[in-house]
Amino acid sequence: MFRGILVMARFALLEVLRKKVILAGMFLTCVYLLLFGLGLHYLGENISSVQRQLSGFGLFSMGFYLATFMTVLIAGFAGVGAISGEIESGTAYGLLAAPVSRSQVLLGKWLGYALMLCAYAAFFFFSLWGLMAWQFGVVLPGPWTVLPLFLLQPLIMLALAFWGSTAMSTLANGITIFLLYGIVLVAGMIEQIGAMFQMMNVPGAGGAATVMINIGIVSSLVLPVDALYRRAVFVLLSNTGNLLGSLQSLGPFGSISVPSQAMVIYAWVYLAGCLLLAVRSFKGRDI
Amino acid sequence: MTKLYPGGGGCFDISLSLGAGDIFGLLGPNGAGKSTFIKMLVGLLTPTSGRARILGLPHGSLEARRQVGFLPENFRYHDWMTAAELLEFHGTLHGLSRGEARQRIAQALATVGLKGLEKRLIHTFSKGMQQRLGLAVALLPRPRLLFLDEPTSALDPIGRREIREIMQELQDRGLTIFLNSHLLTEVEKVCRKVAVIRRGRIVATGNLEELLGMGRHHEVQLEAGGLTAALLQCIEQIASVLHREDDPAAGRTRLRLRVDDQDKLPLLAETVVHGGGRIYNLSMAQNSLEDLFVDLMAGDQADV
Repeated sequence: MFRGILVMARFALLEVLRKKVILAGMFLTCVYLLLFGLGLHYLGENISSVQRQLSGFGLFSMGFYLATFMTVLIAGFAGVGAISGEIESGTAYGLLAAPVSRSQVLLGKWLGYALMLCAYAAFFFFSLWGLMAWQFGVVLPGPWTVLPLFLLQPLIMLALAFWGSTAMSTLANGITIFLLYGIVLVAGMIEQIGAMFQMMNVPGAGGAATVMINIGIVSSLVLPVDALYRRAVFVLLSNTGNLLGSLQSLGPFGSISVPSQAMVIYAWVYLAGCLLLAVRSFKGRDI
Repeated sequence: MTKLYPGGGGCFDISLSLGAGDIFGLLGPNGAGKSTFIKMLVGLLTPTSGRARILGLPHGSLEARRQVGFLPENFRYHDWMTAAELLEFHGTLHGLSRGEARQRIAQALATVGLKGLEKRLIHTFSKGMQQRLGLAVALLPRPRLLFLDEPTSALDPIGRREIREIMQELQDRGLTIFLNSHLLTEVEKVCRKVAVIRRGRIVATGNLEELLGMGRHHEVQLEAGGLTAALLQCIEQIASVLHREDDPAAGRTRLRLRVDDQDKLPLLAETVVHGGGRIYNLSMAQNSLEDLFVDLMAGDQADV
């Protein structure tokens, strides 16, 4: 069982390397990091310390949000055609007639892409974290707590895309999962606004705030990616020991409504569930 | 085995058996259900009903797939790989060690005439070369049974001949080959046993020679001189005259006759000679697979 998975994982990694996906991705990521670093570097000039602190944490939360967004997007792109692409191009015929089970093919390819994404996401996260320490002088707390939360997001997106890829065409799957992700991001924002209303005791907004928060919770159950981001950003910014840093967690990229640990456990279960459903769907598919 | 597609089509109640070492041809027009059948056998499609045993093993099982090679129709291989990488990848899927795979890669590439092209990227290969590479992939696990689905449909006449020669060489080595094809000449040249499929159903199966004689009359060409009216009457008692052409200048008559038994040929010759006729030519016209195919597909031209 594991041998087949490892063969397919190696194949997936080789494919990513050969198609120069990593090269293109890493180059543009480095450009992004360079811009982020330059932004932090030039923050200090001619502004007050308070302004600098606010801008720096603001820049980080935005940069972290976009890093999450890009990593999840890459995972989606990697997964949407993982199975359907093989079928549509005709490469599946030779592959699936070989003595390897469909579960091994699917899990192996997923593992290969997942390893690539984890390496990429870890590099991205620690680069942002390191730039904050180096150029801004703030060592953000809990990087090792945040890292699994950061990695789990692309892994979930990848598993969901794989599941879709076993049942839909590449185009239909791509449209579905990216729209779903967009919906979840908006729902996450609505939840944060609702939580802000609730925190500030906005008169007459109590009922609306509850509904807004519930929208976010339900959307997190549908796709728990934004919830993981909110928890990660909460860990990073709420315990900085710096009031301005903590304040930044109240912004649009921050986390006022903090997902519970139960949501993190749910996200792991969700990941496993997607993979199980993907295997089941692929096993029953006529090629 | 039966496979019903939701939108209609598929194949119905297909029941076939292959002997070891045979080249078996499944012949039928495009869309007749040939590929559906072969895909069920290699586990790509789940049959609606029925089952098969391949070399004594359940069809589609991993154990059965270890014993078979498969060259799909309209296949493509991952063209970012080199020929050697592709073969090595399929070798590992078959559980071969790296050393064993390397040895077999060299042999498989030599068999299909691609020796020396191991390091070339697949996307630089021509269609014919890719077809041969596909065959090398199918041969890599040293299968006991080889499924070839339209192996020459994309090839030029020279490429077709080369693939035919490879098939015959493989048969000489004792390999059993199941060939799907809509190319009559190809099946006629390499297969001893065939089945003809029409609209998803087998309409004829057996040895090619038997099929070509199956319930059919034989056509005979006779060119003779001195055929009197009485002699012609005698001839008509033995065979039906399909066509008559007189050549008064040469004093000869050409007849196209139909007999229901090959054994009537000597009787025909004896009758003409004893009646005073002179035979210049007496020959049996060969029934072709094309005739058989057209007969079997009669009323189904829309599909052909």
